[in-house]
Amino acid sequence: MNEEDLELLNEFVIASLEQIEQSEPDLMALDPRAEVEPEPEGVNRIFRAVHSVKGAAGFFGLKNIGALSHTMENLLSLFREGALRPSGEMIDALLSGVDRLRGMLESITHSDEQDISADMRRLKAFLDAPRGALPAEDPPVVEVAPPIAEHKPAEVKVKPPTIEDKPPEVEVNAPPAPRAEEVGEAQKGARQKDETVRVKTSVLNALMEMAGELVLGRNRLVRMLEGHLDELEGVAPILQQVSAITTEIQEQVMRTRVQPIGGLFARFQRVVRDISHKLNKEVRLLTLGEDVELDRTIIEGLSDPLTHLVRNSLDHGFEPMNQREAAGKPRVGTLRLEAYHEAGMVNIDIKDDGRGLDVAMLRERAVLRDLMSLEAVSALSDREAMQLIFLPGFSTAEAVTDISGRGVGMDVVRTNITKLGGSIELSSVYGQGTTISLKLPLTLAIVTSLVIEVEGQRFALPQVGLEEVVRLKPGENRGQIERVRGAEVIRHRGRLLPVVRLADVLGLARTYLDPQTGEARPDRRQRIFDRRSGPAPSPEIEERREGQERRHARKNIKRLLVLRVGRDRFGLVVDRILASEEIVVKPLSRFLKDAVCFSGNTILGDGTISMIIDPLGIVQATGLKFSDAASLGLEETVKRNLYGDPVPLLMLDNGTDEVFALPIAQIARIEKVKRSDIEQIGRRLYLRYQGEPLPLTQLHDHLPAAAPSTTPSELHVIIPKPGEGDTGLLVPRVIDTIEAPIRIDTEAISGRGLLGSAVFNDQIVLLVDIHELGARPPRAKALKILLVEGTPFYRVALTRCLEQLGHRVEALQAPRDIEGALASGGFDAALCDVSTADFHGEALVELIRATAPKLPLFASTLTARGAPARLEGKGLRGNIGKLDRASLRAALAGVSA
Amino acid sequence: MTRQFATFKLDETLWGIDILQIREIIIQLESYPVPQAPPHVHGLMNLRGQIVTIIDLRQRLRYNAEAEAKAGCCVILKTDGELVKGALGLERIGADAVGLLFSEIGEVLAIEEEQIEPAPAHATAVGGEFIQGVVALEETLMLIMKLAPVLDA
Repeated sequence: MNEEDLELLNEFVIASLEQIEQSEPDLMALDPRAEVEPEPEGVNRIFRAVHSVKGAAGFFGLKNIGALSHTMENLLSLFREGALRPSGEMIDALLSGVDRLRGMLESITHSDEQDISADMRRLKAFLDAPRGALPAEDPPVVEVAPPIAEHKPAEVKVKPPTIEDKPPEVEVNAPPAPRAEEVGEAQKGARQKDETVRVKTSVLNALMEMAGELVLGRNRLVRMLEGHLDELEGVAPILQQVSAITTEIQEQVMRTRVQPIGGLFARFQRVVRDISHKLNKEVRLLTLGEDVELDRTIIEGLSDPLTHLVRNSLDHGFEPMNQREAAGKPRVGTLRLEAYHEAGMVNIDIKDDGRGLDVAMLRERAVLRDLMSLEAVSALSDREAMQLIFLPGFSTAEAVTDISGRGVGMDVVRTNITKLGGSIELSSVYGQGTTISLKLPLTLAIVTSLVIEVEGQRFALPQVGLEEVVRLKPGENRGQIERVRGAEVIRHRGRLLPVVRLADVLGLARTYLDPQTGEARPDRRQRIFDRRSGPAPSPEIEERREGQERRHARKNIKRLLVLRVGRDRFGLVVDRILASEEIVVKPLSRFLKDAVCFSGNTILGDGTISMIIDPLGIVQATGLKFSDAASLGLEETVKRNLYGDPVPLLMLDNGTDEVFALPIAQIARIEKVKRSDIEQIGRRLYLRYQGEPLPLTQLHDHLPAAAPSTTPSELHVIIPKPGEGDTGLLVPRVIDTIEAPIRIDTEAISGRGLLGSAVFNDQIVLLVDIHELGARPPRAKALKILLVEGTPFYRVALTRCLEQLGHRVEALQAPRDIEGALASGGFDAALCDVSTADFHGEALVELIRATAPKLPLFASTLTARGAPARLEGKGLRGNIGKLDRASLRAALAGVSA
Repeated sequence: MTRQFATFKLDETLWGIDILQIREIIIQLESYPVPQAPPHVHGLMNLRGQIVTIIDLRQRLRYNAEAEAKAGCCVILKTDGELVKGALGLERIGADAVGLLFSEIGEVLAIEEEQIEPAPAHATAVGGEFIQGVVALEETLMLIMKLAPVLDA
């Protein structure tokens, strides 16, 4: 076969595949079991398609394809003449014939080696069977009405390369190029919208690339001529025109890359039909938004995950028909595939009206499969529990079937979607159905990127995985990088993010700007302790002081980019963010194939070349490891529910083995005193403080704690805030202040003066209630108070505090309990947490307001001033700082008055 | 058959490259370094919208790295697509655009095919594997560069 013949054969394959694909919906419509009414023209369209395949097969001498299409044509012609009425079995046989034809076309050179005898037998059985028995009144379906070429919205289809050495071809705009016998008809077809031609993909790609270059060239030209336009008379309008046309060209060329998603959706009619039959279910597929356009590489990549999701839904989502009826649902299930634009992304929803997800079952399974602990699972909200389905090794199928259920499902789907730069989410109502939502970018060729700078070099970072930018300001205590076992991390929105410095990964010398001279100098610091965690290591102090000064140079402020890679997140430290730019991705040359941190390179608008950073490559290059549960965010969720917000605590050493801690919120100040300043009067100790004798107490006076064996010459006295009692606490040594999430345990160790205990740095810390160590103030009138608090530590401490004030407290953590509690009624006031991260305090305030409009309601915040302005007008009586006993007492006194 | 060679100096050695393989010569090079790249990749340059990888020949041919490198010239080679059909016997360099960094540009010499002698078997001092042939000129030797090993990624 010479080159021309090969080309012709390839044409034949592409045209035939397309024709038979387009005939599938018509074929399914002929099925008497189908709900759709067959179009009278439908049977003619199928007939013509099969006929032209047969004709061309004869021309190329393809025996098998010829024989099979001939037999199919015979059966179809009986339909056409009205001599035979199509039955479900016939349609099945024809569809499997279509499959066989497709299979042979796809490996055209081996088509005659395939065994088509079974298909032939099946089809011939219908042809040979005695017919007649057609009711006389049945109208014949014949008389070829002026056939109309199919009208589909513009689309670009890519066929996989079928013959070696032939680049894949793309058809711009759908309707097939009219075949010889159709030319006359096509001319008549006045409704024909767009003329189409076939174009090689390589040509389109070249055009695409050149359009990109054109834009870059234009940008440089504009930049260069700027400021000189006055000198060059008449250039300005020309430049403007060229510029506008360049933009237009780029946009038009970009359009050749996109194709409507309808083509992909259409394939699922067949998938749904076949699988639902196999499962003995009846499911109707509705597709919406077929004309939504996406980059064709994305559409190609979407095929597999979407197929998986549809299969999954058919297999597990829809209940058997008798169950549907028993549940009062329509026998026929509905599966919707819907595409729509939203916020610059394309959304695709896969929605079924099946049984929905049983959250209890999901939790149970996660525990049974050892994916999570029982404790962790029960701390999840229902919505979070639904996302468990994306964990590797999690399959909801009770029995493994050949359709789905091998436990490799949803996590793989999620990975594939992430690779396309998209995301996936699931929501479900038990008994009513499940919706899976995919979000995808429109295109992959032009990428919106941040241009960043590290050590004077510029890089482009695609914005797809970028979640947030954090400013790392030197000298500030919050949001600084810490070290855990040699690795850098940062606390960010309740998560611990691994931190990577781009300069280190890329092997660029780290420099800092000298605050005096302003010049860059090599940075030799090995370790920076921006925050103390535990006892300060003394050898570091010298270095730290030096670092402090350096970090005051303003230009040393760095940026932390929070990047998402699949399910994982990490922070990338860069020097500066310069701009956001649309870049055209160019592949790396072969000399750079080992540079794993880059996914390509590009020419920026000003003509400089910049490498494109690949976050996945960085993860690989640095060997960052993420645990699965952590990366799903589940671990954080669990922690959040168990720990809540970090609590600022003062750590105390009583000169014994025990470590004590005290909420900083209750402390007014800490005084350093000499042992000689303390006087003993009777059995009590006093300190002369601001001219008055201040009674002192010691930890072991009340607590179940040992007394220190020696008394150092210098001690500390902790002066509590007003309202916390007028007794100072005398301690030998203040260790440190920490701010850490605390999991408070009120049972293991309890007693007067103790809130409870917690484990911190593998050490048991006794949490002291400073109030109970001193004298008790008079009790207020007892009120019944509803306390809603997201951080467990504060829930315990505030309950205690309120009880000490003489009130009765009902403390709730979960928002869902609020309505029930309010319904039981009898509350005099409510105190609602509005500061804990992710606790949605605002919504809770509104909920309480709506349920009990008259109940005096106070917002509980970390600082009394931090009263969120957004809560104004919600009928709050005020804001009370957490553990601010004086304000609390005053506020509640106002209620009882 | 007469062939024309563009000559370039790399430190004191004279190298020749068939002019049919050369797209252009850049005197003023503006390039961008690539972190993590192998040492012989000098960087990337923007040649009218095309990204060209610049190979540092001193590194590649294992010249004395300590010696002061002269800011020289860059030879942009023709990619396979640009090579004229029928340019028989010329090495193909692949589809990636590549530039070679020399220290100095010389003249173009017309050389008869017979003048070209095979590389001496013991010429390992300058890296014998990079030499395709040797031409004895009046005052010096011109080494014809074997591109494949130079461009071996």
